[in-house]
Order: sequence, then C-alpha cells, then structure tokens
Amino acid sequence: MATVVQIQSVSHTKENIETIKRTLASVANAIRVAREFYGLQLDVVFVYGDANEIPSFTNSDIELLKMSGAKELSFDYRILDRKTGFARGHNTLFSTAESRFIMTINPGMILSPDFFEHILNMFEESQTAIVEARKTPIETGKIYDPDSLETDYASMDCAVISSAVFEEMGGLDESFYCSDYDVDFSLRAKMSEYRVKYQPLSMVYCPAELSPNGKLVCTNEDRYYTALDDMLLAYKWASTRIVNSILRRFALSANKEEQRAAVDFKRMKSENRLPARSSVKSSPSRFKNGLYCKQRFKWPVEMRSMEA
Amino acid sequence: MQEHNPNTASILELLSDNQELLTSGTQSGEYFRWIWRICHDYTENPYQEEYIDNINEERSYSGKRPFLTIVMRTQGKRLSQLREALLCLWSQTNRDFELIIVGHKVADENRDVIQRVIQEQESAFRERIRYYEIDYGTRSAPLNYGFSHARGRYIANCDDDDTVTQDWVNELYERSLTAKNCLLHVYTVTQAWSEVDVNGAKAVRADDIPRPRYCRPFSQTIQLHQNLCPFFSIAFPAFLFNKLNIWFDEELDTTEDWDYIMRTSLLVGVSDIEKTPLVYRLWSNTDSSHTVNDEKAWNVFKVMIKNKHDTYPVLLKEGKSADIRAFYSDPIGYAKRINRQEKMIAGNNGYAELLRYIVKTMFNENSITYRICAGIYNSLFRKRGY
Repeated sequence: MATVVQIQSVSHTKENIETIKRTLASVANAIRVAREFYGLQLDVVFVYGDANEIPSFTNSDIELLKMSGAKELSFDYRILDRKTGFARGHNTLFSTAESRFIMTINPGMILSPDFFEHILNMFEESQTAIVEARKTPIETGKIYDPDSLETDYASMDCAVISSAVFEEMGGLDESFYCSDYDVDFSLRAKMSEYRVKYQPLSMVYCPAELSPNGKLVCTNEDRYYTALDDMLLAYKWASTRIVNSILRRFALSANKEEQRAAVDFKRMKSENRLPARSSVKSSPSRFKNGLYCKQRFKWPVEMRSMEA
Repeated sequence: MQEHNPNTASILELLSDNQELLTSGTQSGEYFRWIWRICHDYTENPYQEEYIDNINEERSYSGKRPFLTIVMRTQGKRLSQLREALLCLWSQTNRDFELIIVGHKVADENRDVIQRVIQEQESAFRERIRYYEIDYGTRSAPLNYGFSHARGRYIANCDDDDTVTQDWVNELYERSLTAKNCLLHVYTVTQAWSEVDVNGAKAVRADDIPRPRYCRPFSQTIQLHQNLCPFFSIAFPAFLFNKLNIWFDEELDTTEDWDYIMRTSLLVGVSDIEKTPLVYRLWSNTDSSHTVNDEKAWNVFKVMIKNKHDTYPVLLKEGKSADIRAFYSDPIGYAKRINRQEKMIAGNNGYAELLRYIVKTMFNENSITYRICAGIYNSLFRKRGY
C-alpha cells in the first residue's frame, strides 16, 4: 500500500516560476528514486500556499507547474489570505490533508534524490512526531544524539510530520508569524511524550547567501520577525526573568529591527495579544545563554536591508 | 599621436619594430621566450598522447558547449559527501555547466556505488554528467584526464566533499563576461566537519563556526610563499589547458593545485569576485589530502613547488612592488603586519579566544556582567575582525 504524503509550502514573497519548477522536479525525482531504488511506494500531493498580496502565478504558470512533476506527484495551488503567517498557512493547508504524513518545505529548496528513504524510516518508531532534514550547504549547529537522532526541536524549513500527531497537537500556534512555530510545536510534542528527531542522511539544499567575510546574510524583515517570535516563544515557555532579559536585550540593541520588535512585543502585551503561557516547570525547553536549545555553534549573521 | 590603450596586435607590431626588447637575456625577452615555450612545448607527461587524443576528441564535439566544465575527482569512498556535492551543483541558479566525474583508483566495491549515485540524479542532470575512470598516477592524473575532456569555456575543480552555494556558477559566469581570459577567483570560508555514524551509515556534521580564512583578494606575492586559494575557488579559462597545454604536474601528489594556480595566474592574471559561494570543509576524522599525505611529504612537495617558482619569470600586478618595498625596508614589521592580518582573517587570536572562553564560562549571557564584558570584548576585538 502506498504511503501518502502531503507536501506543503507557504510563500510570502513573489517566487520565480523556475525556482518552484526546480523544487517540484527534485521532489518528483526523489519519489522516482524511492520507488526504483528503495522499493518505497509513495503517493504525493504538493500543495503550494500563496500568501502574497498579488498571486505569484497566473493560470498558465500553474499549468506549467502541474507538468513539472507530472508523472510522480500532483500539484495543487491555493491562494491564502494576504499576510498569512507560516503557522496559519500550514494549518490552512493541513486542514484538507488526507495523508499519513505532511511534509513542510520552503519554496526554492531542492531535495536530495535519496531523501525519502532515510526520513520516512524514522517513523517506524511509533512515537516519532517530526523529523527534520539536514540543510546544506549551511548546517545549523544544534545538537542531536547520533544514536537516537533525537534533538531539542525540529525546524520546519524542511521536515516530515506525522499527520496524526499534528492533528492531536492542534496544529501550529498561529501567534507566531515566520519562525519559532516549529520550536513551539516540538516542545508541545515532547511534553506529550513524542519524539523529535533530526535525520542527517536526508539532505535538502537550502538557498543561502554569504557575505564577503563569510557571514550569513539576513534581511531586516527577517530579523524583525525572528526577534518578535523569539520573544513570543520565551513568553510562552520561559520564566518571566528570561523574558525580561531577552526583551531588554532587544530594546537596547543597536539593531533597529530588534528595537522595533521589542516595542511591538510590549504593545501586544498591553493589548493582551500574547499566547497563553505554558507551565514552566514541566517545560522541556532550555533557554540557556539566550538560546532555546543547545548549539554546537551558531553561524554569524550579517544584516542587509531589503532595499540593498 | 601616441596610443594610450593599445590592443594586442599593435603591441606585437611595436615589438617587431623594436626587436632589442626581445633579445635573449633581457627581462622582457626572457618573459616572451617563456610564453613562447609554454605555447609550443607539451608538459613532460607519460600520458600526454592520451590527453592530446582526448583534447582533439572534445575539440571535434559539435553539440552545445557549456560555459563551465566542473571536474570532480572521487574514489567513491565518501558516499554522503559525494551526494551532497552533487546536490549543491544541481541547485545552481545557473545550470550552464557540465560535470566530469573522474574515478581515480576506484575499488571494485565502490564502482557500483558511484554509478548508482549518478543514476539517482534527475535526468536533466544525468545528461550533463560524464563519468570516466583511471587507475594510474598521483592525484594530478585525474585532473589532467578530466580537464582534457572539458567542453566548457572555463574549467573549475570541485572535489567530492566540497559544498557550494547556489550562486557559484552564476558569479563566475557574470564575471567572465567582463574579465575575459583570466583566472576567476571567489572567496571561501573554511569550516570544521566530521563524519558521524548514524545507525551504521555514515553521515557528516558541521562542528564549528565558519572561518573567513580565504575571504580575501588573490595576492600573487603571498601566493609565492603559501597557497591561500582552495582549488575550487579558481576557475581557469579552458584554453590554458587545451590550447597552451599547461597541464598539472603529475609528479605532485598534493599541492598540485597551488602549482597550477601559480603557473596559470602568472600568465593571464586573476580577477577577484568579492563573493563567498564556497564552504571548504576541514575533516577532523576522515581522509582528505591533508591526512593522506603526512607532514613530511607535504613539506617535500612545498619545496618542490617553490623550486618551480624559481624556474620562470614572475610578472606582478601594478601596485605589488609596494609589498616588496615594505618587506625590504622593514622585514620584521612587514612579517608582523602580515601575521596580524592572518590572525584577523583566521579569527584565531589566542587572547581573544581565551577572553571569550572565560567570559562565557563565568557569566550567564543574560547577566549585566556578561553584557559589560561582551561590550569590552567587542570593542577590543570584534571591530578589528576577530
């Protein structure tokens, strides 16, 4: 019997059709390899959620996209509400899923041909909730156990999730906009005794830009939302002392985006728009040294404004 | 009226009218004689007939020629790394390239593995891949073999454990439009990596922050002393290999890249692209050319390379005489300055590392004390590039 997977991608920026065609072609090839080389039977639907102000693709573009992975997968294009965050976007796409697994992937990523063989095997252990793939060429420095492959949280930039667990957890917390919803999901899954894992053998190419001195380039907009989501995550999972410490750090930061995030966080708090807090005592989150999980290292980041 | 920007033809005409410049024994005469020798002599090589046959075979190829030929050496021993290298190549925004994989002294059990990894690729990628195998020679031999089969206008090496970002080929392509016929050089970060055993299979893991050791412009003078260009940071115009017959020295089992970069850069120069699309991985627990060849062998090859540097004239870029002046006027000061720059780029200043370690160990990052110390640390070291 075929394993059914719904792959879902949420986009906030206007994507080039060639970029999405390449993603689809790599998914189609990974499905072919899973069938021909590993004997896996996969039934895959790729759902693309477009949350742009003006839809990225025309009807003829969508027909071209449908043909990109024609033999191996079906393609579904959905318009989401403008400015829908990633968390709400994925929840919306999941609401119509009928698959055993869902897989999240950011637009523009390219799957390694042997991707499915390694990552789907991880679900043979019934308590596995989510498995994150390894990004290349920039691997994050978070720690994982090489034997059990368990880790503190799984990034949903590219991950496979058990649909049953996703539903049981009530999906993603829509308080988060573009990051940390995956950390929050992992923490909730762990509290329900599920396993959160990392599979270094399943690779996905994640587009990245390095500055001339080798730092990871990140836009001001990314920095704003990441800082805001970091504070929301701390508010939900960490002690008041840690929340205040992070808030103070952003408020006093030399970076204007972090300052703006701190101001907006205070406003959300005064308007009672923050997520409900978890019981800190039973929280599996760590929040040591300002980070929510142990890291082997952290790539240095360089900010770049959108105009640049 | 005097022409200030003469073209090559007018220079040659001028030289023929002033043959004193070409007299044997003059500096310019020797330089042109060196170029003449390069253009007319084959490198002494026991396999030269095979390489020439390959070059002629590819010369007669009538299909569409790509911008770039990427040559990849492999022994099929690093399966996970090979898959990753291919994934990075196929993720290029500019796919105007072909990939020549040269299996070198491949063990029987690894041959099928390499073929299978190629078969796993998308059909559009497979069409761009050619696989050859040779079972002779040093690490230079598969390079000569791969380069001799190139159809692209430029050739770059990418080993089976190298990783690149999506813009690598495009950065080279864009620059090739304006900097014609010279070597193209991009910046590279280094990063410590190791192999990890994952339920019986081998995976790889990044172990440390990246270091911008090779994020710097190409310097011919420093290159005379040490190689600061990872091999895949350079793309070579194909004519250097298949028209001028400048081949890799097959006596070298390591540092073959340094030798080749020097011989070609002295002839056609280098154009720097101030972008960093490459991650050069330094393996802590698996084979690389650094671990396969012991320190003694490395030093022998380094001496060989430096001796080779003395056998040809060196033409430096304008402005580089300042380096030489600085060295002769104050050798100790010059050495200190270079050493300081090295440390700033490598980010391995001992005091900075020690201070960072003490502060991190003693204080919580959220504490006021930590932030004060971090401020002092940043003002002392970070702004200076540590």
